[in-house]
Amino acid sequence: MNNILSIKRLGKLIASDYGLYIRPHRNVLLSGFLFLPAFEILYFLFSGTSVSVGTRHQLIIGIAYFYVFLLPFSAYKGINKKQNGYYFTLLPASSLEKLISMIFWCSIIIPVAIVAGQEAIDAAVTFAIPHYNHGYAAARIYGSTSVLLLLPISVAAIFGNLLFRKSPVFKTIMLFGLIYFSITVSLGIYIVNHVSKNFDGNTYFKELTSGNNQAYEPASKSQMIYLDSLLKTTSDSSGKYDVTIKTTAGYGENGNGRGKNGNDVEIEITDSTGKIKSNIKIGRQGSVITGKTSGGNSYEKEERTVTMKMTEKQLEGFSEKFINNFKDKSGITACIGVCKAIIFFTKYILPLLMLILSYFLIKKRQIV
Amino acid sequence: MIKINNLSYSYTSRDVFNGLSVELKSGKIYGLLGENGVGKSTLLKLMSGILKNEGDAINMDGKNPWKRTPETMSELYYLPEDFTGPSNSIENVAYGFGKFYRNFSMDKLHDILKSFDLKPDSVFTKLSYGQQKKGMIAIALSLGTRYLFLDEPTNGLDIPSKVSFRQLVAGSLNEEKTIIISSHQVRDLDSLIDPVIIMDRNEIILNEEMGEIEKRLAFRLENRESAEALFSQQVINGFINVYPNGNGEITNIDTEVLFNMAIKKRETIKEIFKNE
Repeated sequence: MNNILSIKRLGKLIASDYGLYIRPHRNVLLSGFLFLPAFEILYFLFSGTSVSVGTRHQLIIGIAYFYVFLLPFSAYKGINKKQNGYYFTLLPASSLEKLISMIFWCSIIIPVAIVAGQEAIDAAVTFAIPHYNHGYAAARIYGSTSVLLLLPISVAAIFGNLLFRKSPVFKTIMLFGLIYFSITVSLGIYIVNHVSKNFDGNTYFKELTSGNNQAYEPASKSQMIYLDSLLKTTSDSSGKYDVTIKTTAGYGENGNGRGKNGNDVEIEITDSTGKIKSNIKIGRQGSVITGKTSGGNSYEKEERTVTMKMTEKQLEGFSEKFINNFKDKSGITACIGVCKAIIFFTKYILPLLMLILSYFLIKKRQIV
Repeated sequence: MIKINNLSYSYTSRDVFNGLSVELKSGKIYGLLGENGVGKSTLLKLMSGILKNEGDAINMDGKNPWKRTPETMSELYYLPEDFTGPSNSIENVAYGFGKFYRNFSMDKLHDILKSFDLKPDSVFTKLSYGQQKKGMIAIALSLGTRYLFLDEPTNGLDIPSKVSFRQLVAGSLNEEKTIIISSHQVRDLDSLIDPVIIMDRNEIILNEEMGEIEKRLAFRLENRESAEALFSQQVINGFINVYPNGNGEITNIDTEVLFNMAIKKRETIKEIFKNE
């Protein structure tokens, strides 16, 4: 007998779980479909207008979050405690199969049913009364990342229900609130430390690909070091091309204490005859001002120029590589990278961790 | 066969077992008797895989129930003393469980429910505690598992149901099955259990078949307490005095008296039954 995963046994378990855990909550789940029409009616009665398609979409997703989060606590109530826990533990299926069945119902079928059911009701109302409801909320699903959050939310609820014996809903909310609070604080500390280490305090570089002077990023020492190191590592005295990289950074203080001046980067490549092969300018050229403004702000600029010789081969893709590397060295880019890593962690790694822990909770938990 | 070898278990507040060893053979209905709190339910839960036994102390046909493999779990069923009836009918619950047990019989379930005067479509949550208990007993017996552990099954049953219970359990036994019934209501299991296991704190005082007990002890109902008896207990119409059975006399074993004797005169019992 396969004691880890048997498709036949899994099929029986899914059917059995429906009968034992999901079906008794059928009416409560179906009642979720009444929220949207009830809300629309009340909204119309009080405001005289229909609910916008964006709001309807958000309401559908919000209702789905609510039900999907609470479902495991309700359907699989007390499976880690005595009484209900005995039935669940003693059922002759493997821990993996039990977890898969839970995920099947709580993370896939029910969320899809809730969202699809509500979208269908919305579509029916929109079709029947087009002058009342404008636009189908279902159209907003495509490309919507909020729908994808249903999966980690349900996994978190499954995990919390397995982990906590008393007050599992409250404790699960507290646990994940604590996790996200810790991540946010850690990120804040990292940003402050990293930026303070690399930010020289006086030089700002604009986001290099944007002409928008609203976005300022602090220049980092590593950018300066990178520029200087280019001269040492890239320059080839036998090369017949002169590459000049000129950066102009404007800085100063305004009423908010922030540098408000622009900056630009210019990469000029000339051949041995002085003919310009390429000239790339990034940033808002000519935006750097110096001196005092009528508003009492004072600006200065700092220019750095690096000139090196390169061969034809070295030139291939150089400009693009330089720009990317230069951007990468900035504090903001690093921080954005960390933020992206954290989002990836919470969206994919954390739910996976919770699933693994849930498996071990089913397999190794004593029912006392 | 179940072999328990050097079993130790403790809750955070106290030790329950420390080096307990016992062997339980197939084809028997064991009565697991003991006072409240000695660890009867804990032992059943350990044998069911609900609690962890350290170091493979429990061996059921070569398998440790703590590993909770489907193969092992499909061979055993544990009916707890305290349970919450599911929000579903007896039949549906049985059907939901029964798919995983190869010897499950819906016909047997219906027959048992008929004996208990219960309808298969009765919803658990709408039944009294005693009726829920009967429903769960019916499911437990109809699953047809090799190992069946019943924890205080007669609690909450009325007298006719206790009679039906004894008949049904006796009727479900075969050579391959091992049934263990734990109870502190000894009278409910009269003429059902054989062998008897009497537990006290962290030890098994007595683990004997009724035939062996009959050979060694004689139970006599007399008018007065006897000074020569090993143990005496007052009953409604006199005293039951327990004597060593030197002349092969056949007497009715009073399980309750035997239990009280084992608890109060454990050294005497151990002495009598030590040469196995």
